[in-house]
Amino acid sequence: MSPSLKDTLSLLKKYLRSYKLLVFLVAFLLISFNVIQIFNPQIIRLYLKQVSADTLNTTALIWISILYIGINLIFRVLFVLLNWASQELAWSTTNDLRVDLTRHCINLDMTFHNKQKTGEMIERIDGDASNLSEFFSTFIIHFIGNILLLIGVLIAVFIEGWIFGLTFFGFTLISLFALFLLRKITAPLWKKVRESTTALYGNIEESISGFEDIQGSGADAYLMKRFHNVSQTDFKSKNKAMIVSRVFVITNVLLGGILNIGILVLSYFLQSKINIDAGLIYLLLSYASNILLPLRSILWQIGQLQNSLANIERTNEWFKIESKIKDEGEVYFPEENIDFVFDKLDFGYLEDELVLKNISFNLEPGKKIGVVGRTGSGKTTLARLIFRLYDPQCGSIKINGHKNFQYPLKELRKNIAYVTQDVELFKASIKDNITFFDPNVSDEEIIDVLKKLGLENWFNKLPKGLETEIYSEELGLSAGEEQLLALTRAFLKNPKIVILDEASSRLDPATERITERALNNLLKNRSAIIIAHRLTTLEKVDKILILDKGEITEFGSREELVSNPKSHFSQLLHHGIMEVLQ
Amino acid sequence: MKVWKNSFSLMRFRKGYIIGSFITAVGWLASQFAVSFLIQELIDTLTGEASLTQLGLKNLFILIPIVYISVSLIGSLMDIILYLFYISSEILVRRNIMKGLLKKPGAVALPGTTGESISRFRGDVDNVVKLSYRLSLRLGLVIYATGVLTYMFFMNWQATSLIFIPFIIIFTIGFFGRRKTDKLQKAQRKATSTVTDSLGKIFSSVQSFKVTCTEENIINYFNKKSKLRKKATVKKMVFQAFMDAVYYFAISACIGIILLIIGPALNIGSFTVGNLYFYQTQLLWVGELIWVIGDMIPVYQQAKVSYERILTIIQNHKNDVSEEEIVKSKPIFERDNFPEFKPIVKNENDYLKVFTAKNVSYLYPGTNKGVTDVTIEIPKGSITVITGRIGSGKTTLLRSLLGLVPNDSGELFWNGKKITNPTSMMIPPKIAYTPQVPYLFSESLKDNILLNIPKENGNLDDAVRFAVFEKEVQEFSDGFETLVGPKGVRLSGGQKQRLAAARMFVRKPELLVFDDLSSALDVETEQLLWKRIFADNSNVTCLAVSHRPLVLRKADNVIVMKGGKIECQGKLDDLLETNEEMQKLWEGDFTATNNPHRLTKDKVLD
Repeated sequence: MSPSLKDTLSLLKKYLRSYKLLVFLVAFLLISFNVIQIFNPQIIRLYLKQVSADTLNTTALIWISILYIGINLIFRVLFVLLNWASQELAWSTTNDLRVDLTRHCINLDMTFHNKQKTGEMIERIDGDASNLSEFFSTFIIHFIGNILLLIGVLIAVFIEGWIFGLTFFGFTLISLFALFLLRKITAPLWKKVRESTTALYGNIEESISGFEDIQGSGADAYLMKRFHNVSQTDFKSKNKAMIVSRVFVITNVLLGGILNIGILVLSYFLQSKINIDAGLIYLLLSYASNILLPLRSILWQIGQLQNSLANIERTNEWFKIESKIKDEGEVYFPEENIDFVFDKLDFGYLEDELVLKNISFNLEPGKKIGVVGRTGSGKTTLARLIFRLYDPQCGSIKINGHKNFQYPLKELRKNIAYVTQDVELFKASIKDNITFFDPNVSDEEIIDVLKKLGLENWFNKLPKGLETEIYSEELGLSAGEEQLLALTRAFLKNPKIVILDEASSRLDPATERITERALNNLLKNRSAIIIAHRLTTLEKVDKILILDKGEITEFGSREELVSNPKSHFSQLLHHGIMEVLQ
Repeated sequence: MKVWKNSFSLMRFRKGYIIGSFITAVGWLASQFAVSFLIQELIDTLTGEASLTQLGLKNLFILIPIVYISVSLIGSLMDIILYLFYISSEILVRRNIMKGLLKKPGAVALPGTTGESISRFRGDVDNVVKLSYRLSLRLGLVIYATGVLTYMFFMNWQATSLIFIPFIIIFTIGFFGRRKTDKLQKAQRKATSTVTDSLGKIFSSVQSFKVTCTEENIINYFNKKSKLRKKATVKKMVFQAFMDAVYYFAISACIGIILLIIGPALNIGSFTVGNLYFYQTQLLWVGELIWVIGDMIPVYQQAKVSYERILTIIQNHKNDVSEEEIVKSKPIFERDNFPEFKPIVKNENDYLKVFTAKNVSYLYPGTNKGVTDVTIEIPKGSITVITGRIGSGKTTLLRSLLGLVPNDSGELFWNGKKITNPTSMMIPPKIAYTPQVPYLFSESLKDNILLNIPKENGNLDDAVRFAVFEKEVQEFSDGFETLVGPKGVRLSGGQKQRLAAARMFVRKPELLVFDDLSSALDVETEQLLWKRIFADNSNVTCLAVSHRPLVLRKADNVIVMKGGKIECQGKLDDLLETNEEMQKLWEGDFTATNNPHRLTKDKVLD
């Protein structure tokens, strides 16, 4: 068994397990559906027998017609039920798959996410699962159903005579063998199509996110070029896959022709030996088209199956990725007196490009450290390492004597608040934005925090209070207001350690003052790391650390550095002053 | 909404494919017909009945394989041509949506989230193209069905008349089912949008969910939305299956009745078994054809909904975009390469003498936030600095001057000449912009800076030097060819901002516009940037949002924004004396930077 087929089966098993009843229902409906399909030509045969009799039995004719109509009615009712059951099954299972895959991906480390475009993620999680949903539902209806039908027809034909049975059986074998060979050619082509389509949506997502910048730069042509480039690749891969897979269809129709002629030729030669009436020829021809339909469907399904296998392979590819950030810690945070030690830490996003080099410093309980450095000097990276968005290549970060990976991830992240320069907000209510969709936080708690931050006035002006939807017609937000919401989030968490990463960079001086008191509240009695390029933010820190190109160039207590006119920090301060005095 | 008209104009986009598919469709159907006909002859010959054509067994055994081969070859050719039409139309419609969005002011181009917009590019494009695609095939089918019905009518008129019953039934069902299908369709598409949208949320903000330990919350939210979509989809699919079932049952009922009627004719031999075989296969064919034609109703419904949904995202504030834009024929470069970029050429009218905004107002829809009644004059060689507290409308003001939002009222003038369409006119070489949070594409540094500037025309070295970015570019392993990763993850906030500044400089605009640089740049870097700009060319014209004293001092005109209006404007010193808001803003910064100053002094004095 090929590994991809094995993966497919185990995936099917895993997701069908919770829906046993539904699976049985689908199977039951499917069997009934096929039995009727095999039975139907027999009615016509019965009919032909009746009409070729010497005297016409009108009553029997009426009954046969009623039987024909009645059976078709049941057939269609089954069809609707089967559709319902298989759709229900398909969506339930693929929804489970979507949720599982989403959960798995969220928990992967940032090195994974940095490689993905959001549009591609959507296409791979939702698009691939949707393709599988067709697979789950149509595969069950058609593929298994068709195989059953095939077997049913073969049995029915064998009953009519072994020579016909053998013809049909041989035909089926040859057809399936031919198809199996063809399968190998087209499968990789369809996988390519999926990849190019994914790239296309990734491109579209990138393009529409960058509209403002593109327009401001008058660079419409750039965007259109990128769009047309991926579209061309998509077009060419689809075109190729389509043309090659037509070989399937041609083979299929030709096979159908061979069977029909075979039956007729056989009938011609056997006519003298056994009694072959019109009814039998009719029946066999009906079965020939009956066997052709499932074969054609199986053929088509195999094409679909190839797509689906490609999808499953892609899905499993992701399921098999393990987070580089292992969550195996067992140590818990103490209530207070939290200290930090950075011990000879090296880190780079790429193996050979170190962003931080030999970083060692410590932070005593309740103290605050200010990190200063030019942009790109590694300040933000330092913060990311603390709560393990990445793990260092060398060295470690110790919190109260334990390395940070000795704490469970949840524990670590729950106790550290992180406010960044980029604030992520959603088109959802203010409440959902502050709590991150946590239904367990009460309105009172949120309002309380808003008050502490001095946002009471702003809050009172919201048309629907906490339920006001942002980025909608109800409310737009300025960059500064976004920052304030981010601070609210941090407060709500009641963290033990606070990391501010340029948190107030977008606030104007006047607004910054308003939040200052609140910020002081947040920092009181808590260890904190404050990353800033605006020196005013660093008035109340105890220590200063200056980073340059990933290395510590200066570290010491703020007072000492300020009083030493040769220190880089005091020179920086003078810069600020020069600015005012110019 | 002229759905049919649009579908036909989409068909005209690739006329050759449509004509080709029509011809092959007719050929394919004709050979299908021939197959049934010849088998009828064969059955009759074998069973000893008088066949119509007296072709003889030998001829039949030769002819039948030939028609089988032609069925498969012509059928495949038809499929390929139709598919080519399908995939080229897809590109066209996507291209038109993209262009339509680009014509709208960039800051408000998307009415919803990116996830929602992507679903327009996916499912809705599919629905729109499907209608045109099916129309072309169905046209062939209609001709075939008419031909076959006429032939059968002459063979046995009573039985054939009964075939019209399903015709009547299908249109009755279609008529009543129409509204319902429409509603279910809309609900399903909407539910799908919310699902893609929540996935978009999750993965564009994954770091935040990790940091706040709220991964499970968002997954629950996603799960909830997925369940709603399932409900909507199953409902839609079952309804469609129900409509199908009613129709196919109607056909079966017809066959049942035909069996009853032709029984006596078969009995006396005026109707042969071969005829019955032919009749039944054709009836199924014709029935199927009628049904797929009836199937056009849901396809039409879906297309209509999708046309509307696409139109809503490309619709502008003046409401003058018509849905014809969606299907307008344009080159799609599916085989040839996209034309090379053209250099930006400054013509006489582009050189700035004075840029004026008169009584410009823009409020974000449904809110009272934005800017009101702003009048500004920026002469050549001047430096204008906008300052003000959060939410005072600084960024919005820049956007309304750059045509990135559709102004509600007021006018912009370039050298006294009115700018009729700011979105397409306020671009380089007239004006360029460094936003606060720039967006980068997952390409190289060079591509991100140049964008549409041909490689040989852009002076990259100068641009990155002005942006104070040259050293870091050198330090990257691949220099200008370094890939920045999705959304520029490999760069820090400050690097992104300076890249955006380089992007602006390389376009050599007459008027440079900066949104707050200090939000991501440290003091030294920002100062250096300003120094380089001022030093290199004293004649540079600048419009900047800033709180930095250095910049405010240097400004020829300081504009203080408050509550979306200009509180006052003038030289800094004058404003500091006369305006309270300016004083407050100034003190915020001054006292703060002054504190350490005093501290140092004290220490030194000690």
